[in-house]
Amino acid sequence: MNIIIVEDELKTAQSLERAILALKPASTITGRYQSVERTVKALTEGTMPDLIFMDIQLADGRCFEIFQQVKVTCPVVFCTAYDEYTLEAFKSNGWIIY
Amino acid sequence: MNEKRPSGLKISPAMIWISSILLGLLSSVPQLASRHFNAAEAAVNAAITAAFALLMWYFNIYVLGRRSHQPRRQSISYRHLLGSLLFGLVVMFILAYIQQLILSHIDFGPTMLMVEVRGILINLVFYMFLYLLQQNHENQHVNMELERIRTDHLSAQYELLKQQVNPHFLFNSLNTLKAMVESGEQEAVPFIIKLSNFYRYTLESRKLDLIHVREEMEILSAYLFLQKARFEDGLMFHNELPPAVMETLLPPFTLQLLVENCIKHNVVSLEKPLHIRLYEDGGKIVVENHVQRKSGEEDSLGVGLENISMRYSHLSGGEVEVLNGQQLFQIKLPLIYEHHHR
Repeated sequence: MNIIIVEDELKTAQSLERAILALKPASTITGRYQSVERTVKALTEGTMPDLIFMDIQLADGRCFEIFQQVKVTCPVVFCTAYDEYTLEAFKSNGWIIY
Repeated sequence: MNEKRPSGLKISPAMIWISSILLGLLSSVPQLASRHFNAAEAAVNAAITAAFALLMWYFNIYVLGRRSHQPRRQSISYRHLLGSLLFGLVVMFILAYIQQLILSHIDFGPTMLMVEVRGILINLVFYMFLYLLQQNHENQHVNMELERIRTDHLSAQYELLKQQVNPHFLFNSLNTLKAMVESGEQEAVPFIIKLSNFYRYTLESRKLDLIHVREEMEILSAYLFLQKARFEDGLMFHNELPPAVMETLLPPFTLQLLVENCIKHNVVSLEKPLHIRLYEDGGKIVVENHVQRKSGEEDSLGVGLENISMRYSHLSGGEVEVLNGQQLFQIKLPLIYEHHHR
């Protein structure tokens, strides 16, 4: 399973990666991105992963901008500490974990 | 305190007219009691006194009103008082002359003397009364100004405090710390120490108006350490302040707040590192960063910056310059030297 992590906090991304690999050692983290810009670039140029873990607040804006620029066909798990984005996240077809 | 000057005294015309006429009537009371009472004489006398009182009212209001536009003075102005008295003497002389024309039978010399003395008394009373009123007026104004400054200062301190105990910052720091502990990083312990240091500085310098730049740099470096742990090479800080500047003063947490602002409003990532430069230029401390604004950020300079300007203008009278350019964002803080302080 190919997984992308979109998270502006480097340490959070690392610990998320460790958690995923511990639970599913067979999966591969194919990319870690901090910004909307880089994620859009990776998704348009590369192949669509099987799953994306995504923080809401990114280095250069909010993750919802990604969906306006790129058609995401795989499931997305939103990771956030703020529940104010719930609705918007559901509109973008995501699961939310706190 | 070069703002609005007191707008001058407002004394109602009714009060001026009634008091003048009353004074006129009062001055003719001794004549009522005298043996050879002459109604015409008393009337002329009353009219002259009333006319004099009216004239002096307006003259003194005019003179004192003009005075209030000059720099504030503590003592009574004897020059103005003498001027007013002289003017009163001349006016009274003319009025006495008119009285003489109307009532040609009375003795000019003694009457004039009596009338002049009365004039001086009326004049003195008016002048003192107006002077006291004006002084009171100005005092009130000064007190209001003081009160306003005090409130501004308090609200600035309150804002600062709110920002310092910013739960967002604590939350982010704890998040970083959790990740560090998880991965067994050696840096976790120094991180905790820096975090506790940062909050200790908050407690220590909360009550101070000014601290040395050198002390501020300690606060800033603790803060930067915490943020570097979070952003790694996404955040680059360049301190180019010369040693002499370290001995100047600034309000506590100024630089920390400015750096925090830079981080808040700009993209900070490994692909696009944010460079913040601190240097001295023409007697000012400059905090500068390349603008790489986050999308969805409204173009606001925020309460934080307003707060800093407010503290600077209260503590040193200096202006904080903000240069919000396309490429560079600069804040220039005037240097405050120790001997200027208190």
